[in-house]
Amino acid sequence: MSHMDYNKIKQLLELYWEGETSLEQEAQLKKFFNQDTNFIPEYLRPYQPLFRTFEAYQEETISTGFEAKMMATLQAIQVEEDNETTNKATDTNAQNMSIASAAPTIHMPNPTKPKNSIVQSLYPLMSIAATLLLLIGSIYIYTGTTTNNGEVATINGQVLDINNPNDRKKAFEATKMALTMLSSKINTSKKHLKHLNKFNQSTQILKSKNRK
Amino acid sequence: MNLEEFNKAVFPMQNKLYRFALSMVSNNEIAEDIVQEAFIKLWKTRDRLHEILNLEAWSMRMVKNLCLDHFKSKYRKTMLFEVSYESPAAQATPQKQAEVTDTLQQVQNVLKLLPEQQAHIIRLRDMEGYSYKEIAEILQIDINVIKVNLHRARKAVKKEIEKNESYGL
Repeated sequence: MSHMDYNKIKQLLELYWEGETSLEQEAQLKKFFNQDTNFIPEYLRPYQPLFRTFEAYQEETISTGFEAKMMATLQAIQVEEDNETTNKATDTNAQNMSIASAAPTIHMPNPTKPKNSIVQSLYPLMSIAATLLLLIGSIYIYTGTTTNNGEVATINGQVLDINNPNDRKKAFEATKMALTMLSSKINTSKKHLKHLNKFNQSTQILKSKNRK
Repeated sequence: MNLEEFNKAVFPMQNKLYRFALSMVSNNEIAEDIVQEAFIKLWKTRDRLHEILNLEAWSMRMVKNLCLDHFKSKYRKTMLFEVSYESPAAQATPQKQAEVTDTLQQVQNVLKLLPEQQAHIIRLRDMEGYSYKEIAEILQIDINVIKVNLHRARKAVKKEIEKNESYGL
């Protein structure tokens, strides 16, 4: 390199410090400073490490396995995305089919219309109404059957006809027996109540002693 | 865009993205993770990549934002658990340390003294060879601001070199 060339480099370097060099001029400087130090004049040598660092910086690269690892990751993402789109497609198909099967019985021109959504929101109420109707109906039927056969009495599982005088007597006897039994039971329990008098007596004694 | 086309368009810039991330996070593994994250983001938007005028500048900006996100989460983690990352110097093997010559280290140290934005600009311009327009796109700042900061950064580097030279270093 001639003395003139060194002068050119020096001028370029000055422009470089001022921030006025183009990318091409900067490339020239890098090329110049990255040659063997022996070709660089003494006064320019202090700046050599700077431009060498710029070049050395390019040698810093990502790990060798990165690209292969990355490609596998991206492929996996693609597979995942493809699965998602197929799932979405089957979901839409299923929806279409359900609408189609419902079409003959219920007229659904547009399932997103608010009118239909109101009808749908009334479904729980409608089911409650249906249950109530069933309940009232069954009660009506049950009470109806009992009033139809109202004049019937049963004693120990034996059905008696009230219109028959014999059966009426039997029913009277049974009722009398039942009431007698009830009265005897009350009398028995009444005997036990006598013991309560003892409490009365003792409280009377205590009261009289207090007065004194 | 299929995987092959993506490979051709995106993978050639992997090292530039990696170095940019590395200059910000100072950790090889984290820088690689950030590039990976950027690639995944790009791949997920592959159908719209043709709309981007300068894919490289766009990707570089994405890496920068991911690095900033990393710092935000790192800050949160540090606040919560008092965890700090090892410095790159502590991670470097003795062999690697030996490979780094004193002079190169000296320049790296000079660059470290610069304000963050100036260091970004000088790296993108002098190390990666980006145009002012591209740097403006990557850093999302005005071209004139870039020119002013590049000038300041180079002046500071010159001053530092000459100072070291006068001390006989």
